[in-house]
Amino acid sequence: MTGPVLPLVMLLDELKMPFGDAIAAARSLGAEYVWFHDGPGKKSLPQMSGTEVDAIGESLERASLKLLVARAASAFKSVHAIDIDPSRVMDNSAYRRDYEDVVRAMEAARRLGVPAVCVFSFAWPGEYTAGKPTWPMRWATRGGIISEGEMERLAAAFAPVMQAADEHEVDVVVLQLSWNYANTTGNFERLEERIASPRLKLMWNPADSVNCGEADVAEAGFRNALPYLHSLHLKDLRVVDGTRNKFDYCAIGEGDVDYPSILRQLRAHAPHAVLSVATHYSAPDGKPGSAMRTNVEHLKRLIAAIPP
Amino acid sequence: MKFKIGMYLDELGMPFREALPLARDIGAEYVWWGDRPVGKPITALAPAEIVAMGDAMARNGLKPLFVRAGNALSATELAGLYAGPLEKNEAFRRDFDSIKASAGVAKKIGAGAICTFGFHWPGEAAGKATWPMRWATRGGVISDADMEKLYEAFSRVCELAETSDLDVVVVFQMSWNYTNTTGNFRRVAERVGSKRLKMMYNPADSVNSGEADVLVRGFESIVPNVHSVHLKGVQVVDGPRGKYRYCPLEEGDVDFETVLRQVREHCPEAVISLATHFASPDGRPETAMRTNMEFVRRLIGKVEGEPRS
Repeated sequence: MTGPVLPLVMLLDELKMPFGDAIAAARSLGAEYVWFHDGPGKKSLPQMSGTEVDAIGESLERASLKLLVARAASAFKSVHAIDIDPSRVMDNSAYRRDYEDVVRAMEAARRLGVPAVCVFSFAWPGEYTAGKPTWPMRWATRGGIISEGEMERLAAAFAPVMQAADEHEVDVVVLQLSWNYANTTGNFERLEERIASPRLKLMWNPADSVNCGEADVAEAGFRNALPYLHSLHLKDLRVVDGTRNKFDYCAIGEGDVDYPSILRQLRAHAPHAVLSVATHYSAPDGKPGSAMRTNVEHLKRLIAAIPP
Repeated sequence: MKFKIGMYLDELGMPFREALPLARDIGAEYVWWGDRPVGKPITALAPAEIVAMGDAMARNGLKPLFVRAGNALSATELAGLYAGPLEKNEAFRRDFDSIKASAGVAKKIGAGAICTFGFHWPGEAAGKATWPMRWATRGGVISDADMEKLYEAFSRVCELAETSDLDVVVVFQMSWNYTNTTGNFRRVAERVGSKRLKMMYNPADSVNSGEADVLVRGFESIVPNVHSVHLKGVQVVDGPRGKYRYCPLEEGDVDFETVLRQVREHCPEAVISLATHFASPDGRPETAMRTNMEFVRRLIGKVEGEPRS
């Protein structure tokens, strides 16, 4: 097998250059799709006017790039679920602000012709305010156990989002993050089963699943993620001290993520899944473009090595 | 060796002065109480009221086991505690005022100890958010960041105890607090490193928190810190979901015969303090307390007759 059969995606923010330059760089690195948090003028999609959104679409079209997903800024990344009253979710100002971002991202998605928006899945207790107090227990339980009270809050918080998704006819893609409830494939699956909407999808982030202590991410994790798989967020890391949340980012293929197994399964079961390459680590020359180029090269090498 | 018996007065469901003779009649020698029987928070007690409380206990032949600082450090969530220096945190300052007041009361009535709780786990008020993980990890894992906060807060309390020349600071174990198990209390005590930090050992809540081998390995690991023992009965119904029911001591999941044997062997000075938490068939708190006392008396009769190792 030569060359990637799995479409490449790039998170433009990782290139750390002006939006227009990042588009050109992504194209030259072989990306077919891109997505971003900050667009021109450091504005996220929910902050943009209709005209500005249309201009994004035109820029991408000129570069023959497609938008993977309309990112609703960092919606629901740092909102703590336990602060939400499940019977009155809109009373929580942080939630309401992010929900409004999500709806604006859905409107942008419609303008851009991309059928999905990207959100996060709410922070574990004290995650952004008290030094990640539940991390050791989450590690010890291979990703954390969502209590019934928390699940009730998560279901209540996602309900208006899924309703808006139906109205805008877009999917809601959850980007996995270590600090959020959908941090592992198992926890995402439990959340999905509770929310039970065919529009809820997953941008699988196997590195964060590994970093959260999930067992057998590449095999069992893949099977958990497969029915909901929208795309993959690819980065790599080495867990240094799992209990204390110490880890180092590194180039893809050099860390603890079993990418050969994941890529082999993708080709067998989800050949059209898109691979979004991120970096998070610093290249020896300190240039973000070099880190991205290294990760793309490593990824292509890993794909080429998949046995027939 | 004769066991010392105490009682938690709140469980009798009556005002302080009425509860004292009943507690004595049931068999208590030591008592402790919250704000409820007194009818006001400890910070609101006038000096004359405190003296009168001490006199009332003495008239009934009772001694104070310790003075409880209301609900200090009970429902305060550690995660939300520190937006800045400890002194600037309103929740901690309010609790610390209660602790200072309790030290004053202790000095006036001749109690040797004050009692606080051990801070709520994150999200406890939000449906016990971390309960399933605590159960799965046999009581919960205290993060480094949390431990630093616990160290800082309890160090202040221990400093106060030291300057007040109180013998001990008792941390009452509760399932919702960081000191919910013998293991977690021991870790906090080791971090704080003060000889003033003692505990009211509560085997029912340790069992209800999922701790393994509470009565032997757990107890023996905290022997130097044991001030007293809180006796109540609990049956774990569904541990991961935090479902349990309180019951008479005899019907619960804790083997109190072993508890008493361990106390006799390792810390015979510790007061064993009766609580109830369950409702007796006739609905009378006194009946529930007498039921537990009869059971404890039977166990004491058995254990006291055994040769000591």
